[in-house]
Amino acid sequence: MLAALEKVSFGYGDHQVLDEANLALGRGQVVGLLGLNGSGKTTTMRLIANILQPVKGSVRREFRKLGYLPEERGLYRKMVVGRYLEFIAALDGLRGRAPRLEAVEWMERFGLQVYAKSRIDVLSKGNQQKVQLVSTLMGHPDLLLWDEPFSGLDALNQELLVEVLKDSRERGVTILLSTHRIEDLESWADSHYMLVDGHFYSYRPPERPAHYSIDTAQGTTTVAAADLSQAVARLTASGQVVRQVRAESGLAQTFKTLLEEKTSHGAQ
Amino acid sequence: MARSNARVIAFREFGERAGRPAFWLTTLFGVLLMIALIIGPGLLQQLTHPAVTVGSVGVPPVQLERLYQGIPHQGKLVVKPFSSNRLARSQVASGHLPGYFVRTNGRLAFVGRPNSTIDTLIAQINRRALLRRVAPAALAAIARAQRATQVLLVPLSPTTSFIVRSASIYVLGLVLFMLVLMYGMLIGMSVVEEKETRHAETLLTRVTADGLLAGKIIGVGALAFLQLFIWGVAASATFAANGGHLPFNALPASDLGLFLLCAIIGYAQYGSIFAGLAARASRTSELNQATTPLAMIVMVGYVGSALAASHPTGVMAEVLHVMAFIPFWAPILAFALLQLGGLPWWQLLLDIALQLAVIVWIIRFSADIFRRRLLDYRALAHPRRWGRRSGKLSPP
Repeated sequence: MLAALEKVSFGYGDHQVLDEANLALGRGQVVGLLGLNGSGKTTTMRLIANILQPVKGSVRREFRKLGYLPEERGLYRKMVVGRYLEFIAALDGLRGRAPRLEAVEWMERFGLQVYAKSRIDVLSKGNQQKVQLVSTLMGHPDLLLWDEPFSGLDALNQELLVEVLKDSRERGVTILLSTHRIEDLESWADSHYMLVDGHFYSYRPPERPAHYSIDTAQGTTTVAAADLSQAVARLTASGQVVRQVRAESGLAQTFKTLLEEKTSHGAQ
Repeated sequence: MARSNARVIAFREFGERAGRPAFWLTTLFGVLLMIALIIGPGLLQQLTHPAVTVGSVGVPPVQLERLYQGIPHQGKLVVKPFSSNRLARSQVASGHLPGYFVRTNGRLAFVGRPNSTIDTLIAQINRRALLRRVAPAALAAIARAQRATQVLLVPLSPTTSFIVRSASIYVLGLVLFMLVLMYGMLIGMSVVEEKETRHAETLLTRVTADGLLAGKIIGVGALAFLQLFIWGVAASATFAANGGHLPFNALPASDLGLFLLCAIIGYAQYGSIFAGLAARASRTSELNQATTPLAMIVMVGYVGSALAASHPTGVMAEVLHVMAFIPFWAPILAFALLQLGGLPWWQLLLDIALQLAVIVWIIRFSADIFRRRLLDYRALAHPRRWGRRSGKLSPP
C-alpha cells in the first residue's frame, strides 16, 4: 500500500466533501478518479499530498516521493524555464551540476529545450502545462497525483503524456489522475474510484466489454457483447454502412448509473 | 516527503530578484539619491551664499582664502584685513561683517556669528590640523574682550558637526524605515503570489512551510542588505570625492554599528510578521488589507523618528524613550534616539536582548499564521482568529 484514506471525513464550512471515505492506492498502478465538479477530487489529492488534514479518520502515506500536479497551473511566471526546473531539482536534493543536467534531460524529453531561456509567462498555456508536468516527474517520484493533466495540451502532447504515463507505470510508479476523458481513462487505468456523495466507489474494468456501440450513417446503436456479430450482420443486410464499432465504456455507464441511484435515493 | 529546503528557497528568492532590472534600477536610484543628498547641500549653499566677507586681524587673507579654495561647491569667501581688533569689532557691531579671524595666544579664533560658509572654512582649518583647540582661559579672555559680539566657534564649528550628525541619523533612520517597509512588502507579495497561483501547494510537497518562510526571509533579507551595502559604498565614495573625508566622520563607528543592528532586528521583526499576515490574503488585491495594521505601526515609528530629529525635550522625549523599547518601534526609535544623545549603554543592551527575544516569538507567531493560512482561501480572518487553529477551510 502506497497511500490510503481510512474513514476520512473532510468539509468546507457546512459542505461535507468526504464522509468516512476509504481509498487505497497500491504500487505500480494507474488509478482513475472520477467525480462531478466540486465532488472532492482535488480535496482527495490534497489530503494525500499532506496539504490538507482530515477532520476525522487518517491518511496513510507510505510513498517515498510525491509529484503533485494541481488543477491550477501555479508557476513562477517570471522565471525562465531552465532555471525553474533547476530550482525544482535542487528542492529534490540535487546539488552542484546535477540540477542542470536533470533539467536539460527533462526539457529534451518534453521538447522544451528551445524554451530553456524563455520566461514562463511568455510560453503558451500548453507549454506552461508541460513545464508543470515535468516538475512533477523530476526527482523520480513513486506516487504521482495528477489533477486534470490533459487540460491545455494539444493532441500531440496528450499522446506524449500518455506515453509518459505508461512508462511511469512500467517503472512501478503509482498514478492517481482525474480527467474528464472517461473513455481514455478506462483504457489506461488499472482501476478507478468514483467519488459520489462523499464516498469512493471502486470500479475495475472487466476483461471484456459488456456492450458495444455501432456507428452508422443513420445513428449509433448499443448492443450487448453477445449480440454484436448478429447486430452488425443485420445492419449490413439492411443496406446500412457500419462506420465504426466501439467498446462501450463500462466506467461511464457505471458512473452514470451510480449517480442516478444516488440522486433517486436522495430524492426519496 | 517535504524537507526544509530553506537554503534553496533563499537562493531562489535572492537570485531571481537580484537578476531583475527593477532591483538594479531601484539600487541605482538609491545611489543617485545618496549622491544628490551629499552634493546637494553644497550646491544649495553655493547658490544661497554666493559670497561672504569676513575680517582678519593678524592672519594673512591669502592663507585663509587658499584654505577655502580647496573646498568644492562652496560660496565665494572674501577676507578683508584689519589692522586692529577695535576696527574689526566695530564692523561686526555695525552689521557690516559677520565676524573676523584673529590670532590670539598663538591660536586662531573666530569672533562673530559664523554662517555655513564660514563654518565650512573653520571645519577645513580644523581638519588640516593647522590649529589646535584654544584653551578655555583664552576663550574666556576673548569673550570678555568682545562683549559686543559672541565667540561661538573656536576653532572647530560644532554647528556643522551637529547638523551633519543630525542629518545623517535622520537619513539613516529614513533608510531603515524604507528597508523594513519595502522589503517587508516584498516578502508579503512573494507569499501572496504563490498562494494566489496555488504554486504554494506544489511547493509544499517538496518544502516544509517553515522552510518556505525561512527561505523567503533570508533570501529577501540578503537582497535588502546587498542594496544597503551598495548605497553605503556609493555614499562613502561620494563623500570622499566631495570633501576629501568620509561621511562616517560625522557618525562614529558605534553609531553605524547600532544602525546595522537595528536594521537586522527591524528586518527580522517586520519581514517575518509581513510574511505571516500576507498568508492571510488569498489574492494580491487583499494584501494591503491584510498588512494595513502593520503599515500603520511602521508609520508611527517613522513619525517618532521624525520627532526625534527635532530634538524635543520634556514629555515628548520621554515618550520616544519608552517607545524605543516597544517591539516594532524599537529598531527605528532606538537608532533615532541618537538625536537625543542615545540610550544609556545598559538600556541599549536591555533593549537589544528584549527585541531579540521578541523576534523569536514573532517568528513563531508568524510561522503559525503562515502554516495555517497559506492554503486557506477564506476571506481575510478577523484579527481575533489569527492565532487560533483553523477548523474549517474554504473550497478551492
